[in-house]
Amino acid sequence: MRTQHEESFRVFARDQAAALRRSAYLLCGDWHLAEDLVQTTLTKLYRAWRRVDEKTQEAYARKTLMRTWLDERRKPWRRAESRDGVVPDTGDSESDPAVAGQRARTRNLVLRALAEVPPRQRAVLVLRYWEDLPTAEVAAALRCSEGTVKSQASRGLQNLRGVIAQHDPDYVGVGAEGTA
Amino acid sequence: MDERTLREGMRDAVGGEPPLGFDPDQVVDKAGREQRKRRAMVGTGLATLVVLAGVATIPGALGAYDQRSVTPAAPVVETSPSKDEDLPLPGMDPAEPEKESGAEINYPEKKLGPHEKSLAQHAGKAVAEVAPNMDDVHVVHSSIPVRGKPETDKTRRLEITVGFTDEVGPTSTMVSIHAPGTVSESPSRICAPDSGDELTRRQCRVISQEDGSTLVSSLAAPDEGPRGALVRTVRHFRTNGAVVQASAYTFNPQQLDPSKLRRETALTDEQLTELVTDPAFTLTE
Repeated sequence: MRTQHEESFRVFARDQAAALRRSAYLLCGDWHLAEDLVQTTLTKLYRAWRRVDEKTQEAYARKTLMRTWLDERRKPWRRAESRDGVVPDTGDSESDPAVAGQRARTRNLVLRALAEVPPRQRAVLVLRYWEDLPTAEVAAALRCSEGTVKSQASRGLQNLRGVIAQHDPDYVGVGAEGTA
Repeated sequence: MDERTLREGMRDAVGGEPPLGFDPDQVVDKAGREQRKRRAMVGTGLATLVVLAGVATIPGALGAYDQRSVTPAAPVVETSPSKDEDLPLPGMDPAEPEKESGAEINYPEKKLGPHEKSLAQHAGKAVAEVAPNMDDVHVVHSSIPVRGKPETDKTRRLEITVGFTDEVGPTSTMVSIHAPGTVSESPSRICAPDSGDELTRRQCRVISQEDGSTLVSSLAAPDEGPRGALVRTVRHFRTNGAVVQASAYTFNPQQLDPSKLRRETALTDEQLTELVTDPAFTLTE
C-alpha cells in the first residue's frame, strides 16, 4: 500500500475503531470478542483499502464487520458456544438511582435478548436500529433482498419480545406503552 | 419491545464501554506485514505452478518417450528472487545498480541541465508525432528525482510528463529515461509471477528486438488512481544498459477523477513503443 493510502487508512482506523467495536459488541455481547472482530475487520479493510471509494468507507467497514462476525459464528468452536449476554460491571453517571437502575435493567435485557436471537436477525437489528441504515443498505451488507431484511427485522423484534417476556414480563408492557 | 426501546437499550448497552484494548496503529502495521508476506507466498506458489505445468507439458511436447535418452526429472525450481540470469545486459554495470535500499533518504530533485531541458522539449514533440490527433500537447513537468545519496553529478533518471487532450478529454503520458546501469531489474523479472506486481497486473510481455535490445509491455492497475483504472507501460531495455519507459493511462493522472475513466489507455502499445525506442531519449551524450 502506498504511503498516502496507508496514512488515510491509519486515520480511518483510529477514528472508527471505537464505533466499530460498539457495533461488534452488540452483535456478540463480549467486549473481548468485539475487539477481535474489529481487528480482523481492519486487517481485511487494509487489503482492500486502495479499491474502497472514499464516500463509502464507513459503509464498507460495517459490511466487512458484519461478514466477519457471521463467518466467526460459522466456526465450529463458536457454534458450540452459548453466550448468555452477561454484562461487565460498569459505572453509571446517572445520579438518580432509580433511572440508573432502569437503565441497567434495559441494558441487561437487551443484551440477553439479542444474544438469544438468531445471528442473521441480530445482524439485521443492529444494522437497522443501531447503525440506522436504510433497508437497501442492510440488504446489500447481508447480501439478501430488501424483503428478507424486512421480514428478518420483524421476526427479530418479535423474538426479542418473546425473550424479554420470558425473563421480565413487566418490561414488555413498558415497551408496548412506548409504542402506542 | 418496540423499535424505540430497542434503540435506547442498545445505547445503554454500550454506554459503559471499557477503553479500547488495542492500538489501531499496531493493527495497521501488522496488516501491512501480513499483506507483504501473503504477496510473497502467492508469487512463490504461482512460480511453482508454472514450473510444474512446464514439467507436465515437456514429455507430451517431445512425443513418445525415448528410452535411450534420459530426461531430467525436473528443471531447477527457483521460487525466490535470485540474481537474474539475463543480467547484465551489454553496457550494464551490475556493480552499481540504483540504490533501492537508500529509498528512505530522499534528496531534493536535481536541477535540469541544458541537455535534460532539451530532452523534455523533445518529449513534447515526440508525443505530438506519435499521436498526431491530440490537441494541446505540452510538457507538464520534468524532473530528476534523486533516490539515495547522489554519488556523482551524472543524471541517473529523468522523468518527463507530457499532457495532451484527445476526444475523451485531457490526460498525460510519462516518459522516464534511466541512465545505463541504474536499473537493476531485468526484463524477465518484470513479468515474473513473484515480481511484486503480479496481483495488479493484467498483461505482461517480453519482446526481444533484432538489435539485441528488449521491450517489455505491461498493463496493470496503477499504484495511485481511481478504482478500475489501468496503466499501460512499455519499457525499452537498450543494449548500452539504458532503459526508457513510457506509460499511458485510462484516467487523467493530474485529476484522478473516477467518473472520467476511459475504456482504453490514451496511447496504444505501438505508440508507446515508438516513444521508448526513440534514440534521442538518452542521458549519455
